[in-house]
Amino acid sequence: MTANSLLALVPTYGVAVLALATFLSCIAMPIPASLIMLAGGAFAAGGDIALVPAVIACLAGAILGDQAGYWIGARGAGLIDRIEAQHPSRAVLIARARNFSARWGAPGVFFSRWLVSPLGPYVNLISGAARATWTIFTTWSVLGEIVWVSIYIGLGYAFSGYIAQIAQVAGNFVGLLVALVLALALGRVIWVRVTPQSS
Amino acid sequence: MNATRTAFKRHPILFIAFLIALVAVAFFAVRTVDDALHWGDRFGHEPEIAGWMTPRYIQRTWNVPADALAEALQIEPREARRKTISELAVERGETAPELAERLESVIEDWREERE
Repeated sequence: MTANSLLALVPTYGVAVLALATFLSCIAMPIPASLIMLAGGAFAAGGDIALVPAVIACLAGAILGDQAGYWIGARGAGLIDRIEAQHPSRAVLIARARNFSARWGAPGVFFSRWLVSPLGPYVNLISGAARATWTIFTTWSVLGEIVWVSIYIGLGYAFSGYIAQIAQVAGNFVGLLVALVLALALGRVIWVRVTPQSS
Repeated sequence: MNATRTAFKRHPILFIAFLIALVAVAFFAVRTVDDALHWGDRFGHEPEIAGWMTPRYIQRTWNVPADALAEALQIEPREARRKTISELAVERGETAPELAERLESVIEDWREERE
């Protein structure tokens, strides 16, 4: 299905398309949710769909998607406990991952909603698996999704003629940030774990 | 260099993932710079009418009144609620690009008339 036929679904089926798109993208399905939200804003500007229900639909889909990911991750937490018990050598690593999650969990959840949104689904799984406090996870998930939805619906509303171009430019910029975050995180893991042992 | 070799030996998979991430950084950096340099090409000209658009979307984006389009579409302005240009084109037995082109010339005429 091409991007254009996805866009045509918005006026045809209304705000349900927006909710479905943000939900699927928050559980790591390859859906161009930002483009669809931009279209939602643009069609709301023209009056084909109503603005407030469009925003609510996007938020509902995204927040439910985050909860689904957290829940799946939480189901895996027991498995991690078993690995920890059976392989004490891995326990250090798992403890380090939990500390990392406890320390960076809140900003990690917030910024992975909108600034580095492709990482969001994986942060959800990790948050659940690391038994991040549900209220803290949900608070930052909701705040982050409000920012995400506001940016794309707002840009679509204001610049309705250029939604494809906005999606492309934003996609490249977000891609750059995601790649930078991954490179820094991987580099840190690789070198921090090497240096103390080799010295 | 020694540290790099040790790192690779200890974490071969993570190391390869790290290199892939660096390639991705370069790829998206080039594209982001290209977007910044060609900002005007992306946003400086009028958009084109496409099949996924609706009459009301076009009215709002091109800032033309409903009546101006209604004649070209042969519809009552309110009748075309949430129908896309592709759907309207099929109903009229023409292709979406044909209808899009017709609408663009209607908009152009309307603007000239107003001047």
